[in-house]
Amino acid sequence: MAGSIDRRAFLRRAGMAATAVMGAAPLLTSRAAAQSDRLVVAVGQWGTETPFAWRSVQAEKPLWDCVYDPLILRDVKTWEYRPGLATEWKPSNEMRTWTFKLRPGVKFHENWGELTAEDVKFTVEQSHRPDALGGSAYFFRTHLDRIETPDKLTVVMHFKSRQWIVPSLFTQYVGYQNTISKKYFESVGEQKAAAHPIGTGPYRHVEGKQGDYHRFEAVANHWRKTPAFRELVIRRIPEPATRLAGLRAGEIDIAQVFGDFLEQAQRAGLRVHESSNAAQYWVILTGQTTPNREDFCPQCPWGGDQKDPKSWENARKVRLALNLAVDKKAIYSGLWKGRGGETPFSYYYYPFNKGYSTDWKIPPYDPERAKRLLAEAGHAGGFEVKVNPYVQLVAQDGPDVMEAVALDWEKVGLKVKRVPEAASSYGPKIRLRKTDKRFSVYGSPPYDEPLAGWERVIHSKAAFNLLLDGVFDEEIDAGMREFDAERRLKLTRDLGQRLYDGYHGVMLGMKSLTWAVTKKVGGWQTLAYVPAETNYEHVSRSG
Amino acid sequence: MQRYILGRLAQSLVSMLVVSLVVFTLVRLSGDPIQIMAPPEASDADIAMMRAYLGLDRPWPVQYWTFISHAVQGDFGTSVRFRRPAMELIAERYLATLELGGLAVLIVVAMALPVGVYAAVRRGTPLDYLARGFAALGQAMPPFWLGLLLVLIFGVLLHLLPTSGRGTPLHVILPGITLGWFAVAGLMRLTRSAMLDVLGSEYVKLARIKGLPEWQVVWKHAFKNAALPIVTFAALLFVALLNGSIITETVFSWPGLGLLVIEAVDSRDYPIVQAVVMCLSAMYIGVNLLVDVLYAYLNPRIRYSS
Amino acid sequence: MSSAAVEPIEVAPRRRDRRWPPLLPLAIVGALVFCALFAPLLSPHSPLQGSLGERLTPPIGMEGAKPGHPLGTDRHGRDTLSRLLYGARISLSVSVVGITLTGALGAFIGLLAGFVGGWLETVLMRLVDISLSLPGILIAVLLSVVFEPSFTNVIIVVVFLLWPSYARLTRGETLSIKHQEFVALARVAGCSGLTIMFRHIVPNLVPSILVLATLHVGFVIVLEAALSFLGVGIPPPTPSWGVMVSDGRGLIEQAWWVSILPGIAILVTVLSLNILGDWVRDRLDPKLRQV
Repeated sequence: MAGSIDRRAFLRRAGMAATAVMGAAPLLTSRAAAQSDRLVVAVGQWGTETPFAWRSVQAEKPLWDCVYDPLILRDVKTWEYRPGLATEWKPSNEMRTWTFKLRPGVKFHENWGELTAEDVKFTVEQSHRPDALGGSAYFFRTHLDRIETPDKLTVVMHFKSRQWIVPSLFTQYVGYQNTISKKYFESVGEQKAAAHPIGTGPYRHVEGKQGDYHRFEAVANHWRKTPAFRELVIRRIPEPATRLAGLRAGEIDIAQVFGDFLEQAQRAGLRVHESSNAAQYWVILTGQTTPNREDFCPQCPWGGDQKDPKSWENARKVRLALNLAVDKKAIYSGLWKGRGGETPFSYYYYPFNKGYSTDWKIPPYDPERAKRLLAEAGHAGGFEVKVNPYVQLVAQDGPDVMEAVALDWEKVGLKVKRVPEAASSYGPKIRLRKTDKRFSVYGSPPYDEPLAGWERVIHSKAAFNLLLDGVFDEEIDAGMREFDAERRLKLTRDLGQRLYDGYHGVMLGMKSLTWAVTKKVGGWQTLAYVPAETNYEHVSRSG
Repeated sequence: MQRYILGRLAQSLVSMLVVSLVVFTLVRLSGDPIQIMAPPEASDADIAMMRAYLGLDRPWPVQYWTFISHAVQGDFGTSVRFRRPAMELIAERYLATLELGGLAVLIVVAMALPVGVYAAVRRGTPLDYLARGFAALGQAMPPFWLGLLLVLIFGVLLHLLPTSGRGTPLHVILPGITLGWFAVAGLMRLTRSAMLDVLGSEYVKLARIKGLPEWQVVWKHAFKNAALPIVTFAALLFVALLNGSIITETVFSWPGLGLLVIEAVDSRDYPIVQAVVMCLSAMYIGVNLLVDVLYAYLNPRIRYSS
Repeated sequence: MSSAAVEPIEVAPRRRDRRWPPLLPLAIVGALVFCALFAPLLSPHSPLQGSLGERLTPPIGMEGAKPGHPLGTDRHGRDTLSRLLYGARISLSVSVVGITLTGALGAFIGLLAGFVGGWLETVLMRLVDISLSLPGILIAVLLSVVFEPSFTNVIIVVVFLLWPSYARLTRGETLSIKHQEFVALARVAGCSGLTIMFRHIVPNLVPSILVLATLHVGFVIVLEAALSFLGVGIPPPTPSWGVMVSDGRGLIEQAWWVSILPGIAILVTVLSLNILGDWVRDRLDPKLRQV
């Protein structure tokens, strides 16, 4: 008998709980049906979700770029600098001092006052906090001496040494901006300021749920651009198939879509938006490090001993063979659906960079020659390599591309062992050069000058090993120390040539970034060369 | 009785302690959150500084003591990724998961009970087979695949239900079905066997002899007596569904605990993973304790035998 | 998924008329085992090789089909039929290996708990509770982060998730057998504890364990697919059915054969195994309800 009481009690309680829960759920009916004045964007990842530059890992940009303004904007097509919050930026004292003049009359959202030099100073100085690991905090902590604010709209930054790279750190995409209101941050505290960021951008943050969505409202008469859609909702949908379903159901207006999903999107009548040359893809041939690293492998067929010219040349032949064995065109058409291709490149060298050479052709598909080269180098029967097919921040299709490369390599006699490991475990291993000599597909973001990229990933002291370390340390150091733009250009160009000639990685191509958009969305200018969503404020209505 | 309850309570506390040790060790073996958060530029010194800031440079026993001594006060530390108290984040997400789990259990109960009872009463009829086959289908499909099929059919092709996210009561339907269908067959089997047991009892035979109408015999007499194991199962099922919601939440971008914790694993956000595991385990152990005590109360023999 | 841990087993009425196993499910499972054993002979292609030029070729009978690929190809141009055949091998071996290990471990613990009793029983049964209380899928993900995804890791996860069921079942059975007359007689006859455990009790446990194991085979196949979805299952390109379903999940409309075919394979297998499991239970009729 007691059982029946329990059953009733249980059912009643369950029913009550369910009713309460359903009722308490925020009734976001409006969110589901995308109305004409609302733009709904879905993104797969948004990093740590922090609106603060000093904690950011770059993946947050799609979320907060519309809430903040960069000091230096970019031309959407040429990637050149354009005035942003700063109308002027000038070096002095042999580039030890950089002076920024701020745009007058820029207001923080929700009446938090006018943007002043104090706010910029405050934001940059957060880099000195012990927990500031993200963004450009490292650079400022190491090189910044002090910041002065002689007047309301002038910021003077003094560095400990000569720095030509400073403006780049304040530009759209490459830099970490998010100039926050000092007054707001200090009066509400960090946690609250993180949950409801106040910026100066074309969209004002209204509300949001961490990990779920954020809602924004257009700022009237914004100097940068007054958005065409009054409301912007950015949702996070990790599963790509679900993102596409949302687009097709009309619940989402813009979402990044690639590979086979592109074809499905087009078949379903969605329009495709493309940002060309957004990511440079290559295969990292791990093992080309300095001798003090665990990955160091002069005896690997592709590694080579720098002191032994014969072995060094054979290794180069092997690397060229690894390049020739890959059917790049099949990747472009099969996996990238024609959204990307064979733009000539040397690692980190982009068409917009000065000194870019069209001679840097990607090696053709020639498996026969690849086999001959392998034989010449003494590896006629092939050898074993390990690969890690994983999703990298920029190369979201990394596993597919890696598998395609692996299948091609197997056709010239290599044995390819797949040893998968997710980015979260594998990333740190690349940093520590403890990858167990696994190859992987890398998609690179652009830098204003290739040298800046090389310093970060090709130098023996660099954080990652994405190509080779150590061999070109002197050249990179010399370039970073060179303050004459012309001479630096020559150094850069020469090093670009040498990197190309060495075939240190397997050059795959430049991939476009693609979005599917609903009929509601008209034109839209995303930043060229940038592997991330940007410029939602520029999305226009169709018709 | 009191001694039994106290004993079980003590055992449950020890269990929680073991759980805390297991999760503490596992997350620390899984990698370093700072290496993951650090941008390319970060130097070893920066990383060391951050590690010290988060207290991750201290020896494990010290870290464990900090964790457990704060945890008993309900403080599970600050999320490495969000820099907010882990409990605050969990509280935010908990309701969403409860909503999802609640609907899933309702679906399971609504489908499994009638079918289970029917299957017991009208054993072997075509409808019995059909219903049991339908229930079994839920067990034979990978949940993510089922979820995506449902999205495709009801969200995209028929335009009946939203494809993802949380908001209106409509949003919870597809994820609820995806999560619940899997468990229908289990509860249905249990209901059927419990009913078969009771239907064969003297007690029910007596009711039949008395000439009571069949529905009364089935529902008032038989089902009442079969209900205890069913309710127990449903209660444990609810907790199990909360545990199992990771996949469903990922497919439907449902902003619940599952999605929070799977991402916390990805960023090695120790405090969140620890807090979620501790909460879910505590719920399971708590419900289990409650069930045991209830059974002991109803059936004195258990108290002495175990 | 983790609800399998609280999966109940019904008491079936003894039904003498069911002497013969249901033929269709038996035939299906037999065919699967055959495919798994002879996959290398039956497959027209290697399950691992392909080229992008042949990707997403439709099955025979559809426009664009190629004669070499009766069931079409996947996203890397690998032959679907060959992958399905080899997939039977992988998916079944995960199940069989995983369940054998789990069954052995769980049963041993349960036997120990039930037979020895006392504090050991309390400790072991609390361990069961602890194991059940941990969120299974999450622990699976953590484990695979610690150990890297692999076949072995999937097996570890299976053992971790399922051992409590076997431990509970065996303990209960052992308790009831322990108090039966023949055990008491053996004791009087001077048999040692070990002899009683393994000579007298274990043989009587086999039927119930067998029933539970049959019912778990399907569960493990589905579990393996779920783990693949989370990226912690058997690593691609190894052709397990779970990997295939997960790999083709975004192509249901565009190239249905990539994920629907392995999906159907899983569906049919699991349903057949469940029916067979029911039959085994009816035949062996162990008196078990809740495990």
